[in-house]
Amino acid sequence: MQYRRTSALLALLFICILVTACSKTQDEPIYRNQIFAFGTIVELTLFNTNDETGDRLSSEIRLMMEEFHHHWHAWQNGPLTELNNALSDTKNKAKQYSVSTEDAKLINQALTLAKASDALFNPTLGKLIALWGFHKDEPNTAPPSAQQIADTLNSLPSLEDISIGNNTISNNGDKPIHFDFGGFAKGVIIDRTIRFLRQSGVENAIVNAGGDLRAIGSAGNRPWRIGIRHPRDLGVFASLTIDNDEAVFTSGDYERYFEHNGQRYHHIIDPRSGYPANTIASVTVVHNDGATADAAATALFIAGKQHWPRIAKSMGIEHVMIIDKENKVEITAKLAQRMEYEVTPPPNIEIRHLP
Amino acid sequence: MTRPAITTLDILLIAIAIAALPLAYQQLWGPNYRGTEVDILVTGQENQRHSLLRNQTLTVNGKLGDSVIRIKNGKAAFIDSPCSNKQCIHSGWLDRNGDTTACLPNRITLSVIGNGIARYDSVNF
Repeated sequence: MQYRRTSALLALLFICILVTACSKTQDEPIYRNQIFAFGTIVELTLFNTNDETGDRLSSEIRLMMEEFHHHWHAWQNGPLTELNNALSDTKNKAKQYSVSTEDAKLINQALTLAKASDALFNPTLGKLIALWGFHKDEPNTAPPSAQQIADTLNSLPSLEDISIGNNTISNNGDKPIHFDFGGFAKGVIIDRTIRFLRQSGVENAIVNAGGDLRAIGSAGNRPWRIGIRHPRDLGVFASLTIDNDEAVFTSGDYERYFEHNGQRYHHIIDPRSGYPANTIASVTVVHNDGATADAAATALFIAGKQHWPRIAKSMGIEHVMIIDKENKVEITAKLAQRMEYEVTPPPNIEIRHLP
Repeated sequence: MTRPAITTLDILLIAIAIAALPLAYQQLWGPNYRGTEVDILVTGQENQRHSLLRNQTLTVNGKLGDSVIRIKNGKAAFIDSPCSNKQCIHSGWLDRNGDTTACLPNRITLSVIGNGIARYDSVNF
Protein backbone atom coordinates (compact mmCIF):
# COMPACT_ATOMS: atom_id res chain seq x y z
CA MET A 1 0.00 0.00 0.00
CA GLN A 2 2.80 2.34 0.97
CA TYR A 3 4.44 1.46 -2.37
CA ARG A 4 1.33 2.51 -4.37
CA ARG A 5 1.13 5.81 -2.54
CA THR A 6 4.79 6.57 -3.19
CA SER A 7 4.36 5.64 -6.86
CA ALA A 8 1.44 8.07 -7.26
CA LEU A 9 3.37 10.93 -5.71
CA LEU A 10 6.45 10.14 -7.80
CA ALA A 11 4.32 10.13 -10.95
CA LEU A 12 2.96 13.56 -10.04
CA LEU A 13 6.46 14.84 -9.37
CA PHE A 14 7.60 13.47 -12.74
CA ILE A 15 4.82 15.35 -14.56
CA CYS A 16 5.82 18.56 -12.77
CA ILE A 17 9.46 18.07 -13.77
CA LEU A 18 8.41 17.45 -17.38
CA VAL A 19 6.48 20.70 -17.42
CA THR A 20 9.16 22.84 -15.80
CA ALA A 21 12.49 21.33 -16.76
CA CYS A 22 12.66 22.46 -20.37
CA SER A 23 10.75 25.71 -20.26
CA LYS A 24 11.56 27.87 -23.25
CA THR A 25 14.45 30.24 -23.42
CA GLN A 26 13.09 33.77 -22.99
CA ASP A 27 15.69 35.73 -24.90
CA GLU A 28 16.22 35.61 -28.65
CA PRO A 29 19.42 37.01 -30.18
CA ILE A 30 17.61 39.92 -31.80
CA TYR A 31 19.06 43.42 -32.09
CA ARG A 32 16.44 46.18 -32.04
CA ASN A 33 16.97 49.88 -32.50
CA GLN A 34 14.93 52.92 -33.39
CA ILE A 35 16.33 55.86 -35.26
CA PHE A 36 14.81 59.09 -36.48
CA ALA A 37 15.42 59.33 -40.20
CA PHE A 38 13.51 60.14 -43.36
CA GLY A 39 11.17 62.32 -41.32
CA THR A 40 9.88 59.34 -39.36
CA ILE A 41 10.86 56.63 -36.89
CA VAL A 42 12.74 53.75 -38.41
CA GLU A 43 12.80 50.52 -36.44
CA LEU A 44 15.54 48.03 -37.22
CA THR A 45 15.16 44.41 -36.13
CA LEU A 46 18.20 42.29 -36.91
CA PHE A 47 18.43 38.61 -36.03
CA ASN A 48 21.69 37.25 -34.65
CA THR A 49 23.44 40.61 -34.79
CA ASN A 50 25.48 41.89 -31.86
CA ASP A 51 25.06 45.39 -30.43
CA GLU A 52 28.29 46.72 -31.86
CA THR A 53 27.45 45.65 -35.41
CA GLY A 54 23.84 46.74 -35.00
CA ASP A 55 24.81 50.20 -33.81
CA ARG A 56 27.27 50.63 -36.66
CA LEU A 57 24.67 49.55 -39.25
CA SER A 58 22.07 51.82 -37.62
CA SER A 59 24.36 54.85 -38.00
CA GLU A 60 25.10 54.06 -41.62
CA ILE A 61 21.42 53.49 -42.40
CA ARG A 62 20.46 56.76 -40.73
CA LEU A 63 22.98 58.67 -42.86
CA MET A 64 21.82 56.89 -46.01
CA MET A 65 18.18 57.68 -45.26
CA GLU A 66 18.90 61.31 -44.43
CA GLU A 67 20.77 61.75 -47.69
CA PHE A 68 17.92 60.12 -49.62
CA HIS A 69 15.39 62.28 -47.78
CA HIS A 70 17.26 65.45 -48.71
CA HIS A 71 17.74 64.29 -52.31
CA TRP A 72 14.06 63.55 -52.89
CA HIS A 73 12.47 66.20 -50.66
CA ALA A 74 9.91 68.05 -52.75
CA TRP A 75 9.82 71.17 -50.60
CA GLN A 76 13.31 71.80 -49.25
CA ASN A 77 15.99 73.06 -51.62
CA GLY A 78 17.81 70.12 -53.15
CA PRO A 79 18.07 68.01 -56.31
CA LEU A 80 14.31 67.37 -56.62
CA THR A 81 13.35 71.04 -56.23
CA GLU A 82 15.93 71.87 -58.93
CA LEU A 83 14.30 69.31 -61.21
CA ASN A 84 10.83 70.66 -60.41
CA ASN A 85 11.95 74.24 -61.06
CA ALA A 86 13.43 73.28 -64.42
CA LEU A 87 10.30 71.37 -65.50
CA SER A 88 8.07 74.26 -64.45
CA ASP A 89 10.06 77.16 -65.88
CA THR A 90 7.84 78.80 -68.47
CA LYS A 91 10.83 80.72 -69.88
CA ASN A 92 12.60 77.44 -70.58
CA LYS A 93 10.80 76.22 -73.70
CA ALA A 94 12.58 72.88 -73.70
CA LYS A 95 11.73 72.26 -70.02
CA GLN A 96 14.27 69.48 -69.72
CA TYR A 97 16.59 68.40 -66.95
CA SER A 98 19.31 65.78 -66.84
CA VAL A 99 19.56 63.48 -63.85
CA SER A 100 21.73 60.54 -62.85
CA THR A 101 21.00 57.08 -64.19
CA GLU A 102 19.82 55.99 -60.74
CA ASP A 103 17.46 58.97 -60.42
CA ALA A 104 16.08 58.44 -63.91
CA LYS A 105 15.42 54.80 -63.04
CA LEU A 106 13.52 55.79 -59.90
CA ILE A 107 11.41 58.40 -61.73
CA ASN A 108 10.71 55.92 -64.51
CA GLN A 109 9.59 53.29 -61.99
CA ALA A 110 7.25 55.82 -60.35
CA LEU A 111 5.73 56.82 -63.69
CA THR A 112 5.29 53.17 -64.73
CA LEU A 113 3.46 52.39 -61.48
CA ALA A 114 1.39 55.55 -61.88
CA LYS A 115 0.23 54.53 -65.34
CA ALA A 116 -0.54 50.98 -64.15
CA SER A 117 -2.69 52.49 -61.39
CA ASP A 118 -4.79 54.64 -63.74
CA ALA A 119 -2.92 57.61 -62.19
CA LEU A 120 -4.49 56.97 -58.77
CA PHE A 121 -0.95 56.78 -57.47
CA ASN A 122 0.41 59.93 -59.07
CA PRO A 123 3.83 61.47 -58.32
CA THR A 124 2.88 64.77 -59.97
CA LEU A 125 0.36 65.84 -57.33
CA GLY A 126 2.85 67.95 -55.39
CA LYS A 127 0.82 71.15 -55.62
CA LEU A 128 -2.40 69.42 -54.55
CA ILE A 129 -0.73 67.79 -51.52
CA ALA A 130 0.76 71.16 -50.59
CA LEU A 131 -2.64 72.86 -50.92
CA TRP A 132 -3.92 70.56 -48.18
CA GLY A 133 -0.79 71.12 -46.11
CA PHE A 134 0.15 67.44 -45.91
CA HIS A 135 3.70 68.15 -47.07
CA LYS A 136 4.52 69.62 -43.63
CA ASP A 137 5.13 68.01 -40.24
CA GLU A 138 2.05 69.80 -38.92
CA PRO A 139 -0.82 69.78 -41.44
CA ASN A 140 -3.31 72.60 -41.97
CA THR A 141 -6.23 73.05 -39.59
CA ALA A 142 -8.90 73.72 -42.24
CA PRO A 143 -9.53 72.36 -45.75
CA PRO A 144 -8.90 74.55 -48.81
CA SER A 145 -11.88 76.10 -50.59
CA ALA A 146 -13.63 74.28 -53.43
CA GLN A 147 -12.38 76.96 -55.82
CA GLN A 148 -8.77 76.51 -54.70
CA ILE A 149 -9.08 72.76 -55.22
CA ALA A 150 -10.62 73.18 -58.69
CA ASP A 151 -7.91 75.66 -59.71
CA THR A 152 -5.15 73.35 -58.49
CA LEU A 153 -6.62 70.32 -60.28
CA ASN A 154 -6.72 72.35 -63.50
CA SER A 155 -3.07 73.27 -63.08
CA LEU A 156 -1.83 69.68 -62.75
CA PRO A 157 0.00 68.03 -65.67
CA SER A 158 -0.92 64.79 -67.40
CA LEU A 159 1.40 61.81 -67.00
CA GLU A 160 1.58 61.77 -70.79
CA ASP A 161 3.31 65.15 -70.70
CA ILE A 162 6.41 63.57 -69.16
CA SER A 163 9.05 61.67 -71.08
CA ILE A 164 12.41 60.20 -70.12
CA GLY A 165 15.25 59.56 -72.53
CA ASN A 166 19.01 59.35 -71.99
CA ASN A 167 18.55 60.28 -68.34
CA THR A 168 16.81 63.51 -69.37
CA ILE A 169 13.37 64.28 -67.96
CA SER A 170 11.20 66.37 -70.29
CA ASN A 171 7.98 68.25 -69.74
CA ASN A 172 6.26 68.19 -73.12
CA GLY A 173 3.11 69.93 -71.91
CA ASP A 174 2.32 73.51 -70.98
CA LYS A 175 1.64 72.96 -67.27
CA PRO A 176 4.28 73.02 -64.54
CA ILE A 177 5.38 69.69 -63.10
CA HIS A 178 5.92 69.41 -59.40
CA PHE A 179 7.04 65.91 -58.54
CA ASP A 180 6.36 64.68 -55.01
CA PHE A 181 7.36 61.06 -54.47
CA GLY A 182 5.84 60.89 -51.00
CA GLY A 183 3.59 57.92 -51.87
CA PHE A 184 6.51 55.87 -53.11
CA ALA A 185 9.83 57.06 -51.68
CA LYS A 186 9.42 55.23 -48.38
CA GLY A 187 9.19 51.96 -50.28
CA VAL A 188 12.27 52.83 -52.30
CA ILE A 189 14.40 53.66 -49.26
CA ILE A 190 13.23 50.54 -47.42
CA ASP A 191 14.25 48.46 -50.45
CA ARG A 192 17.64 50.17 -50.53
CA THR A 193 18.11 49.60 -46.81
CA ILE A 194 17.38 45.90 -47.23
CA ARG A 195 19.90 45.78 -50.08
CA PHE A 196 22.46 47.51 -47.85
CA LEU A 197 21.84 45.07 -45.01
CA ARG A 198 22.30 42.10 -47.33
CA GLN A 199 25.53 43.58 -48.64
CA SER A 200 26.61 43.92 -45.00
CA GLY A 201 25.99 40.24 -44.38
CA VAL A 202 22.59 40.53 -42.64
CA GLU A 203 20.14 38.02 -44.09
CA ASN A 204 17.43 38.10 -41.40
CA ALA A 205 15.97 41.52 -40.69
CA ILE A 206 12.97 43.81 -40.58
CA VAL A 207 13.14 47.46 -41.63
CA ASN A 208 10.05 49.34 -40.47
CA ALA A 209 9.87 53.00 -41.48
CA GLY A 210 6.92 54.78 -39.92
CA GLY A 211 4.78 51.64 -39.96
CA ASP A 212 5.61 50.33 -43.43
CA LEU A 213 8.11 47.54 -43.59
CA ARG A 214 9.99 44.87 -45.44
CA ALA A 215 11.21 41.70 -43.77
CA ILE A 216 13.78 39.19 -45.02
CA GLY A 217 14.73 35.77 -43.75
CA SER A 218 13.39 34.68 -40.38
CA ALA A 219 13.90 34.93 -36.64
CA GLY A 220 15.96 31.77 -36.42
CA ASN A 221 13.71 28.72 -36.41
CA ARG A 222 10.47 30.69 -36.71
CA PRO A 223 9.19 33.14 -39.32
CA TRP A 224 8.84 36.86 -38.62
CA ARG A 225 5.33 37.71 -37.44
CA ILE A 226 3.88 41.07 -38.43
CA GLY A 227 0.89 42.69 -36.74
CA ILE A 228 -1.39 44.95 -38.78
CA ARG A 229 -2.84 47.79 -36.80
CA HIS A 230 -6.58 48.16 -36.24
CA PRO A 231 -7.70 51.21 -38.23
CA ARG A 232 -10.34 52.22 -35.69
CA ASP A 233 -9.06 50.92 -32.38
CA LEU A 234 -5.92 50.53 -30.34
CA GLY A 235 -3.95 47.39 -30.95
CA VAL A 236 -3.61 44.91 -33.75
CA PHE A 237 -6.39 43.84 -36.14
CA ALA A 238 -4.69 40.92 -37.88
CA SER A 239 -1.30 39.34 -38.33
CA LEU A 240 0.64 37.24 -40.77
CA THR A 241 4.02 35.55 -41.00
CA ILE A 242 6.56 36.58 -43.60
CA ASP A 243 7.43 34.20 -46.39
CA ASN A 244 11.20 34.80 -46.71
CA ASP A 245 11.20 38.28 -48.29
CA GLU A 246 8.11 40.49 -48.34
CA ALA A 247 7.11 44.10 -47.87
CA VAL A 248 3.94 44.95 -45.93
CA PHE A 249 2.53 48.40 -46.60
CA THR A 250 -0.68 49.91 -45.30
CA SER A 251 -2.41 53.14 -46.23
CA GLY A 252 -5.03 54.27 -43.74
CA ASP A 253 -7.17 57.30 -43.05
CA TYR A 254 -5.86 57.40 -39.45
CA GLU A 255 -2.22 58.09 -40.24
CA ARG A 256 -2.10 61.82 -40.92
CA TYR A 257 -5.19 63.94 -40.67
CA PHE A 258 -6.80 67.00 -39.20
CA GLU A 259 -10.34 67.60 -38.04
CA HIS A 260 -12.38 70.64 -38.97
CA ASN A 261 -15.96 71.25 -37.86
CA GLY A 262 -16.24 67.64 -36.74
CA GLN A 263 -15.06 66.18 -40.03
CA ARG A 264 -11.80 64.30 -40.52
CA TYR A 265 -9.60 65.16 -43.50
CA HIS A 266 -6.80 62.64 -44.04
CA HIS A 267 -3.71 62.76 -46.23
CA ILE A 268 -4.60 60.36 -49.07
CA ILE A 269 -5.94 62.74 -51.69
CA ASP A 270 -7.95 61.46 -54.66
CA PRO A 271 -6.47 63.13 -57.76
CA ARG A 272 -9.86 62.92 -59.50
CA SER A 273 -11.78 64.94 -56.93
CA GLY A 274 -9.02 66.81 -55.12
CA TYR A 275 -10.46 65.65 -51.76
CA PRO A 276 -9.39 62.84 -49.41
CA ALA A 277 -10.53 59.43 -50.69
CA ASN A 278 -13.36 58.36 -48.50
CA THR A 279 -14.76 54.85 -48.97
CA ILE A 280 -12.54 52.65 -46.80
CA ALA A 281 -10.45 52.82 -43.63
CA SER A 282 -7.26 51.03 -44.67
CA VAL A 283 -5.56 48.98 -47.35
CA THR A 284 -2.75 46.52 -46.70
CA VAL A 285 -0.59 45.29 -49.55
CA VAL A 286 1.98 42.49 -49.36
CA HIS A 287 4.52 42.32 -52.18
CA ASN A 288 8.17 41.46 -52.57
CA ASP A 289 9.09 44.99 -53.70
CA GLY A 290 8.63 47.81 -51.19
CA ALA A 291 8.31 50.59 -53.77
CA THR A 292 5.56 48.73 -55.63
CA ALA A 293 3.74 47.92 -52.38
CA ASP A 294 3.94 51.58 -51.33
CA ALA A 295 2.50 52.93 -54.57
CA ALA A 296 -0.15 50.19 -54.67
CA ALA A 297 -1.35 50.84 -51.12
CA THR A 298 -2.01 54.48 -52.03
CA ALA A 299 -3.64 53.62 -55.37
CA LEU A 300 -5.92 50.91 -53.95
CA PHE A 301 -7.02 53.14 -51.08
CA ILE A 302 -8.11 55.78 -53.60
CA ALA A 303 -9.66 53.18 -55.93
CA GLY A 304 -11.99 52.22 -53.07
CA LYS A 305 -14.32 49.26 -52.67
CA GLN A 306 -15.62 49.22 -56.21
CA HIS A 307 -12.43 49.40 -58.24
CA TRP A 308 -9.56 48.06 -56.10
CA PRO A 309 -9.47 44.53 -57.61
CA ARG A 310 -9.05 45.96 -61.12
CA ILE A 311 -6.24 48.30 -60.07
CA ALA A 312 -4.53 45.54 -58.05
CA LYS A 313 -4.56 43.28 -61.10
CA SER A 314 -3.19 46.06 -63.27
CA MET A 315 -0.34 46.74 -60.81
CA GLY A 316 0.54 43.06 -60.39
CA ILE A 317 -0.57 42.87 -56.74
CA GLU A 318 -2.02 39.57 -55.48
CA HIS A 319 -2.03 40.05 -51.69
CA VAL A 320 -4.47 42.77 -50.60
CA MET A 321 -6.63 43.33 -47.51
CA ILE A 322 -9.16 46.15 -47.34
CA ILE A 323 -10.82 47.15 -44.06
CA ASP A 324 -13.86 49.30 -44.59
CA LYS A 325 -15.32 51.83 -42.20
CA GLU A 326 -17.50 49.17 -40.53
CA ASN A 327 -14.45 46.91 -39.99
CA LYS A 328 -15.59 44.53 -42.71
CA VAL A 329 -12.73 42.84 -44.52
CA GLU A 330 -12.32 42.36 -48.26
CA ILE A 331 -9.32 40.23 -49.05
CA THR A 332 -7.75 38.36 -51.95
CA ALA A 333 -7.81 34.57 -51.75
CA LYS A 334 -4.01 34.31 -51.57
CA LEU A 335 -3.74 36.63 -48.59
CA ALA A 336 -6.82 35.16 -46.88
CA GLN A 337 -4.99 31.83 -46.53
CA ARG A 338 -2.27 33.51 -44.47
CA MET A 339 -4.10 36.12 -42.41
CA GLU A 340 -4.88 35.54 -38.74
CA TYR A 341 -7.42 37.89 -37.17
CA GLU A 342 -6.55 39.19 -33.73
CA VAL A 343 -9.89 40.79 -32.89
CA THR A 344 -12.85 39.30 -31.07
CA PRO A 345 -15.33 38.58 -32.55
CA PRO A 346 -13.58 37.93 -35.87
CA PRO A 347 -14.56 40.36 -38.64
CA ASN A 348 -16.93 39.71 -41.52
CA ILE A 349 -14.76 38.62 -44.41
CA GLU A 350 -15.43 38.65 -48.13
CA ILE A 351 -12.98 37.03 -50.54
CA ARG A 352 -12.59 39.21 -53.62
CA HIS A 353 -11.24 37.75 -56.83
CA LEU A 354 -9.08 39.77 -59.15
CA PRO A 355 -10.34 40.08 -62.74
CA MET B 1 -5.59 -0.54 12.22
CA THR B 2 -3.87 0.14 8.89
CA ARG B 3 -3.98 3.56 7.21
CA PRO B 4 -5.30 3.66 3.60
CA ALA B 5 -2.56 3.87 0.92
CA ILE B 6 -3.96 7.10 -0.47
CA THR B 7 -6.04 9.34 1.71
CA THR B 8 -8.79 11.73 0.60
CA LEU B 9 -6.36 14.56 1.22
CA ASP B 10 -3.81 12.96 -1.13
CA ILE B 11 -6.44 12.66 -3.87
CA LEU B 12 -7.44 16.29 -3.35
CA LEU B 13 -3.79 17.37 -3.55
CA ILE B 14 -3.20 15.40 -6.75
CA ALA B 15 -6.42 16.79 -8.27
CA ILE B 16 -5.36 20.35 -7.50
CA ALA B 17 -1.89 19.73 -8.92
CA ILE B 18 -3.32 18.23 -12.14
CA ALA B 19 -5.82 21.09 -12.43
CA ALA B 20 -2.96 23.57 -12.07
CA LEU B 21 -0.92 21.94 -14.85
CA PRO B 22 -2.42 23.98 -17.72
CA LEU B 23 -1.64 27.20 -15.84
CA ALA B 24 1.91 26.05 -15.14
CA TYR B 25 2.29 25.06 -18.79
CA GLN B 26 1.07 28.46 -19.96
CA GLN B 27 3.39 30.28 -17.57
CA LEU B 28 6.46 28.26 -18.43
CA TRP B 29 5.95 27.38 -22.07
CA GLY B 30 3.50 29.96 -23.28
CA PRO B 31 4.53 33.34 -24.65
CA ASN B 32 5.14 36.13 -22.16
CA TYR B 33 3.84 39.33 -23.71
CA ARG B 34 3.87 41.56 -20.64
CA GLY B 35 6.30 44.45 -20.67
CA THR B 36 8.56 45.23 -17.74
CA GLU B 37 10.22 48.50 -18.78
CA VAL B 38 9.65 51.42 -21.10
CA ASP B 39 12.24 52.99 -23.39
CA ILE B 40 11.88 56.69 -24.19
CA LEU B 41 13.81 57.81 -27.24
CA VAL B 42 14.29 61.48 -28.01
CA THR B 43 16.11 62.31 -31.21
CA GLY B 44 19.72 63.22 -30.56
CA GLN B 45 19.62 62.10 -26.93
CA GLU B 46 20.48 58.97 -24.99
CA ASN B 47 17.65 56.49 -24.44
CA GLN B 48 15.87 56.71 -21.10
CA ARG B 49 14.72 53.41 -19.60
CA HIS B 50 12.21 53.25 -16.75
CA SER B 51 10.59 50.38 -14.90
CA LEU B 52 6.85 49.94 -15.51
CA LEU B 53 6.52 48.95 -11.86
CA ARG B 54 7.33 52.42 -10.54
CA ASN B 55 4.47 54.88 -10.98
CA GLN B 56 5.76 58.26 -12.09
CA THR B 57 5.15 61.16 -14.45
CA LEU B 58 8.00 62.26 -16.70
CA THR B 59 8.44 65.49 -18.62
CA VAL B 60 10.52 64.95 -21.74
CA ASN B 61 11.78 67.82 -23.85
CA GLY B 62 11.54 67.24 -27.62
CA LYS B 63 11.82 69.24 -30.81
CA LEU B 64 8.62 71.26 -30.25
CA GLY B 65 8.59 71.38 -26.46
CA ASP B 66 7.66 69.22 -23.49
CA SER B 67 5.80 65.91 -23.77
CA VAL B 68 4.41 64.38 -20.59
CA ILE B 69 4.61 60.59 -20.20
CA ARG B 70 2.94 58.77 -17.34
CA ILE B 71 3.85 55.32 -16.01
CA LYS B 72 1.12 53.77 -13.92
CA ASN B 73 0.28 50.23 -12.82
CA GLY B 74 2.55 48.56 -15.36
CA LYS B 75 1.49 50.74 -18.29
CA ALA B 76 2.85 53.85 -19.98
CA ALA B 77 1.21 56.57 -22.09
CA PHE B 78 1.61 60.02 -23.52
CA ILE B 79 -0.51 62.34 -21.38
CA ASP B 80 0.35 65.63 -23.06
CA SER B 81 2.37 66.72 -26.06
CA PRO B 82 2.80 69.94 -28.05
CA CYS B 83 1.83 68.37 -31.41
CA SER B 84 -1.38 69.47 -33.10
CA ASN B 85 -3.34 66.27 -33.72
CA LYS B 86 -2.37 64.44 -30.48
CA GLN B 87 -2.12 61.02 -32.14
CA CYS B 88 0.45 60.01 -29.52
CA ILE B 89 -2.10 60.62 -26.77
CA HIS B 90 -4.84 58.82 -28.70
CA SER B 91 -2.60 55.73 -28.79
CA GLY B 92 -3.52 55.20 -25.14
CA TRP B 93 -1.78 52.96 -22.62
CA LEU B 94 0.97 50.57 -23.67
CA ASP B 95 1.78 47.49 -21.60
CA ARG B 96 2.79 44.61 -23.89
CA ASN B 97 6.31 43.80 -24.90
CA GLY B 98 6.84 45.45 -28.29
CA ASP B 99 4.10 48.08 -27.98
CA THR B 100 5.34 51.34 -29.47
CA THR B 101 3.92 54.78 -30.09
CA ALA B 102 5.45 58.10 -30.96
CA CYS B 103 4.97 61.81 -31.09
CA LEU B 104 6.58 62.30 -34.49
CA PRO B 105 6.37 66.11 -34.56
CA ASN B 106 8.11 66.23 -31.16
CA ARG B 107 10.51 63.40 -32.15
CA ILE B 108 9.79 61.22 -29.11
CA THR B 109 9.03 57.49 -29.11
CA LEU B 110 7.76 55.28 -26.34
CA SER B 111 8.47 51.52 -26.52
CA VAL B 112 7.59 48.82 -24.03
CA ILE B 113 10.13 46.07 -23.60
CA GLY B 114 10.03 42.85 -21.61
CA ASN B 115 11.81 39.61 -20.91
CA GLY B 116 9.58 37.46 -23.04
CA ILE B 117 9.03 37.19 -26.76
CA ALA B 118 6.72 39.81 -28.24
CA ARG B 119 3.64 38.54 -30.04
CA TYR B 120 4.69 40.54 -33.12
CA ASP B 121 8.18 41.19 -34.37
CA SER B 122 6.98 44.43 -35.94
CA VAL B 123 3.70 46.27 -36.40
CA ASN B 124 2.51 47.62 -39.72
CA PHE B 125 0.25 50.70 -39.83
